[in-house]
Amino acid sequence: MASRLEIPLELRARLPQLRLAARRALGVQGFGQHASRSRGAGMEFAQYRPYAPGDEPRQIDWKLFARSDRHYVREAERDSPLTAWLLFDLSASMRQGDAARADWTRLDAACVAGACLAELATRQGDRIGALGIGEAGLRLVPAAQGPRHRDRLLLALQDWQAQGGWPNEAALRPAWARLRAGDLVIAFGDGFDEAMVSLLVKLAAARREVVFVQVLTAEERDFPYRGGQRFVDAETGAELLGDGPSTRDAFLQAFARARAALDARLDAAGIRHAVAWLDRPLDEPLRALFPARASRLAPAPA
Amino acid sequence: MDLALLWPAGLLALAALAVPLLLHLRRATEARRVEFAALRWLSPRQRPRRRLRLREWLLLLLRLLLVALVALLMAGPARVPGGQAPPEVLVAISLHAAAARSALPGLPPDTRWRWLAPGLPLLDGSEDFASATPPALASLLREADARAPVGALLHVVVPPVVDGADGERPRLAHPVRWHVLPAPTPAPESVIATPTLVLQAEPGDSAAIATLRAVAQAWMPAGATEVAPLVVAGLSDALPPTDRWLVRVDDSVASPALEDWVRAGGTALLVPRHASAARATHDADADASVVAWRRADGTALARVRTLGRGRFVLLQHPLEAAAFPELLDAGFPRDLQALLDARDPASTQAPADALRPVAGGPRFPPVPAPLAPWLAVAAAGVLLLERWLATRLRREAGP
Repeated sequence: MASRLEIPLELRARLPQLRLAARRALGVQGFGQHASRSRGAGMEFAQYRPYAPGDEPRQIDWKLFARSDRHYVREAERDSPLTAWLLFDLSASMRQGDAARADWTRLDAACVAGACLAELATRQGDRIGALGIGEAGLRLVPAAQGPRHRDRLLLALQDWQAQGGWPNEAALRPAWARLRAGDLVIAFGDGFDEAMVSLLVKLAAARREVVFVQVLTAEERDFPYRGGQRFVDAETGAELLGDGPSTRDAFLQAFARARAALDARLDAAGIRHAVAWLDRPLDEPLRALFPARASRLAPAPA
Repeated sequence: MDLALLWPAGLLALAALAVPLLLHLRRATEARRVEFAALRWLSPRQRPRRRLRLREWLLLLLRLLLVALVALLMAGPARVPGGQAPPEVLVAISLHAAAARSALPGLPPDTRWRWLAPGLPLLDGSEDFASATPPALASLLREADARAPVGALLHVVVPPVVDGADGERPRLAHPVRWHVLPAPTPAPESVIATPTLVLQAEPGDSAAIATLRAVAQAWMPAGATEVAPLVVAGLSDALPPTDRWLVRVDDSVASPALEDWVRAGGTALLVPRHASAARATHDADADASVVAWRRADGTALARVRTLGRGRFVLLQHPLEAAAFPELLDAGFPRDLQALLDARDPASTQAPADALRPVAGGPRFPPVPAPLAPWLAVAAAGVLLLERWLATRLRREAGP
């Protein structure tokens, strides 16, 4: 198992090309780089309101006073730090890797991508937390800020194992208390579990900005098997005897249809998503989702 | 030359060929286990094709070869000689090799030329065969007939007078061409070369010495003028070489040294000095010796005791005419020579035509030459190769 604490050097070198930015998520208290509802001394104009006793005189827009002979106070939206959550699928299917690189599983890739985002968040001063959903229920690293918290989070990720299936609804209930409206949720998973997709859709509908990184293996893309294989689903234990070449076309068609259906569903729910292939550099999906030069005011996808 | 199987049922072991084949079959049920989370999009109708596939072709071929070789070994393959065999030429050893070759021109080059000598050696070059004793020619002809390959024509080259005939004309299975060549040298007469006589006696025993000197002179060829070779020595002198005949005129029993000498191939004539001593001395040897010469009334005159490669001839009476009247007989030297000479006195010489073989001899079935040693060597080689292939490194786990 590759160490999830260390971001590969070439990936770390490309981190400046990334920016953890939200389209709908809003900052909370404090000073940061993200738009928030908090009024304060910011660059972004929010509104004029009539002067009320107690306002500071320097907040009065004197040019407007000259035109209208009334005192108005100019208010701006303050830039605030964001709260980002890394949400990991810890079901057994995340244990799968490619035969070509046996110690590089989906969970490893997801954790390294999560480590990149934690590093980004720390540099930007955003709060970041982690949430693992697996057979045992919920595993949580509370959202906080700063390098020490980042290290604590990475250390926690190191211990997480992918095991079993998806928990029931009741086990997920504490997640709703943690993921508050306006937070950014970055989910990592294979997207094969209906329960996880529906959770993401529900979160998106409840005013959380959800971003989904679908981690897929190269074998699922290429189906390079030759000869008879015994395919085993790690979550359900189901087995299927199959012959590589003769099954390939039917599988690739069915899998492409399923991915198209999932993409359409995520798009409809307003969830931005990208695919992280296990044999491709990890920054590809991250750059697609979190480009450094994106407009902060770009409208959220419909 | 044909190949034959001595035990064809051994080929049933070829059924064991199925074992390596089965071992090398990659069974479809032993499919590799693959974790695959996207299982639900796999079509369950696509069963793996149950195509028979074999692993490690080279190893399999070696193992099949090994099993086949062992089965063949069990079946006992043999080479049966047959077909057209080259002719054989058998040359009597008294002839020159060159003369025999020039007398039989036009023979195929693979003709085998053999001497009619024990072991039937091949003629190498044009050397003549050197041998002291004339071989038993008729017996050698039968041996050559039995050893010749089936269908071979036998050429026999003999001089006009051959030595070594026996009681029957050879009856041979092979066709024989009988060639008589003029003898290169006159056949030696059948006079047996008499070994030198060595007489050991006490110096005063002049009667015995004179008698034996007369006997030796009588052995000389007719018309010879020289004196017969007779060496007179004392009783305690050293023993002569074993190709001499030793005569001891002595009453005592044979000493251990004398027995060793006889055992080494010598012939000793023991003559008693006194009649009483003869009985007393030689009765001890009576059980070990046989009577070789007796009078008409049955009285033993001489006994012969064989010891090792040599013989004792024990005269039963002293050499005195009173006790031994046969001494005065004209045939006494010839009788004594026949006693001392161990060789078969029957003549084996015959004209060549008298030995010409007749057809209809016993036909020996050809002896199959087993090929098992070569097959075993080949199987061992294949086994070594197979072991090397099967145990070398960088090989996937398998049969």
